[in-house]
Amino acid sequence: MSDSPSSKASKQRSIGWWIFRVMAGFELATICLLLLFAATFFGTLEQTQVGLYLTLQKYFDMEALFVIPELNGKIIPLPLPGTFWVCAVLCVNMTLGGLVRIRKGWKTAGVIIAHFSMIFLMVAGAVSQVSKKEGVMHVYQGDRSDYAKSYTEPSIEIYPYDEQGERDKPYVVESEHFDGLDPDERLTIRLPELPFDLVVSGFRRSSELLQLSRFKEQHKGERVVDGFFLQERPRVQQEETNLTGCYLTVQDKEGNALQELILHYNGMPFPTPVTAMVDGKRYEFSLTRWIWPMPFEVELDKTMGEYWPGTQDPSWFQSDITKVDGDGDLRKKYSIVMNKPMRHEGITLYQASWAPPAPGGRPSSGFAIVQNPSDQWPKWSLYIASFGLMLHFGMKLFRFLSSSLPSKKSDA
Amino acid sequence: MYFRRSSLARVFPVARLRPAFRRWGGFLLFSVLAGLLSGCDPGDREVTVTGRRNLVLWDRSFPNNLKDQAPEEWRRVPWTQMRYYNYRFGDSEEGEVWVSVIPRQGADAALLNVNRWYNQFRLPEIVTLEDLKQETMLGVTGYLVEAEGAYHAGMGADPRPETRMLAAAIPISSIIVTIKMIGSPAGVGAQQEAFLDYCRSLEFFDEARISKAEDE
Repeated sequence: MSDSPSSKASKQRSIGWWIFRVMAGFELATICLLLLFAATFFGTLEQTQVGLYLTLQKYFDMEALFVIPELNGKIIPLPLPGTFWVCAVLCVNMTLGGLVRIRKGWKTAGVIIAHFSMIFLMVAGAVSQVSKKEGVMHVYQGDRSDYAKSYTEPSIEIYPYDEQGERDKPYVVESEHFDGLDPDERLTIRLPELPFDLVVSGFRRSSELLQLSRFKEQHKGERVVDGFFLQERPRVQQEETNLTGCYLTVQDKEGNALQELILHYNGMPFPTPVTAMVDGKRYEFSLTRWIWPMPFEVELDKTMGEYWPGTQDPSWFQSDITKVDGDGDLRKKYSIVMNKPMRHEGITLYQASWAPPAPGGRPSSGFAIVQNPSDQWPKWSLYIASFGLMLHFGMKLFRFLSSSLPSKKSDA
Repeated sequence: MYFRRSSLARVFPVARLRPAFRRWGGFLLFSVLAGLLSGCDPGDREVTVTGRRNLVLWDRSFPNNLKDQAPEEWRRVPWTQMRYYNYRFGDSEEGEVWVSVIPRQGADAALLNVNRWYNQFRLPEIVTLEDLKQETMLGVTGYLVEAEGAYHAGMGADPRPETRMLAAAIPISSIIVTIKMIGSPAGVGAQQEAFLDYCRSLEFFDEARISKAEDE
């Protein structure tokens, strides 16, 4: 039986053509959308049980290659690919299918624009995932601040002292090194500029620091350092309330232990370091949330707010601030209210919280600070999508109306 | 258009890719396995740190705006709600120094606190602070207390025999700042001067404050 011309052509097609065909295919788009639906469905259910932070990390983080959903502590036997990578595949699929392979002409112009907007939206998400920074700046009325602190991400800071006996610029062990670090794993920190190295062990995302002399009954064989021990606590849904703790060994360059330390983040608005002497010099070690220096200072001139009656939900709040740049030469006043943030060189300050004054105290504002190069991209992608779809359906309407008008004339 | 293909018979062209999979299957399998293994737990880790952060107001903020200057031989250990500054000293680090800030409830709050310290050594109470040694600290009069004997810290802690205490109570505004040193009589004796210097070094320091005009 001889092959038909179409099957002959099919045999002659290269592997490149087939890869293009699969990657640009409607089938792949359907699979991706179904996977995204499944991930969103299970993620939404799981989020009610383990909290937003853990769910976002599990389903949507770049490092999540595969996800196994869990509900009520039971594993759902449906492994799903990580949403970040599904979106990456969908992005390639839409580019090849919706921009390259699509028939081009005036009739498809609106659809091409709409496809482009969706690709742009996914790229915005990817850029945000890779380079977004966020933190919170708490300021009392009449105070100033020049830093934000991460809500959730831990870091270890090592302070040398300067000649005046004051803290010098700290060395920072960034948050990414603690991702997924388990209590039974060790993180060795090499410090080429200092006369010692560090070893982190017993790292716990959620822990309590207890004094042995007062909590003997609760001590279940945990390591005791300086009369304190760390006890693991169940990780709660609001990740920012989980208090991180770890043990730290200061060792010389040959690996000999010089000092055992215990570090615990306690949520206080000041560092609470521990110290060790190495080669006759004192160093401070602090486990804190990642500190993000701002390129400007914020002076909180006045803050006002109100709660809905009988609740702790703010009905409105406002902060009058002065942004101070440089050496205090450039001063500019802003009024930040709900949904009206301050923007400055890619950094956005939103009013995130407000606290009334305690008796004899001052009110305070909490500013969520976000630096995201793709901050405004979703808005623009929606404008582009709206334009594309209006163009597409507008042209369809126009064609429908223009084809129906002559027939009415002929009927007459 | 790429989404126009609707016939189910033509939906999955993968079945027609068998020859290609034969050729590329090994590579694909290796890629998938490599991807899966890259997600496995890396175990112990190592990192080299050279990055330093610029100093910000966070680095110049202190508990209750109370800044201290401790001798180098004292080693700072974890902070607790009751110990804003917490140090160990001595060869075996059995000596302790800590600073607390408590609300001043009533005119005799400092006296009550001093008598609580005497009670911890099972010593008789005093009736007036004027009987104590006085020293200017934090710009006001601070009262110095000494005691020796078995120390009963309370709060579930075991009594500590042959212990000496040096302490200072500084009533200031609506708070009392207390500094306490506990250790062996010899160890505390050797640190007596350092303790006084430490008490004198305390200062209120608030670099974040810009004005008091707006306070309400």
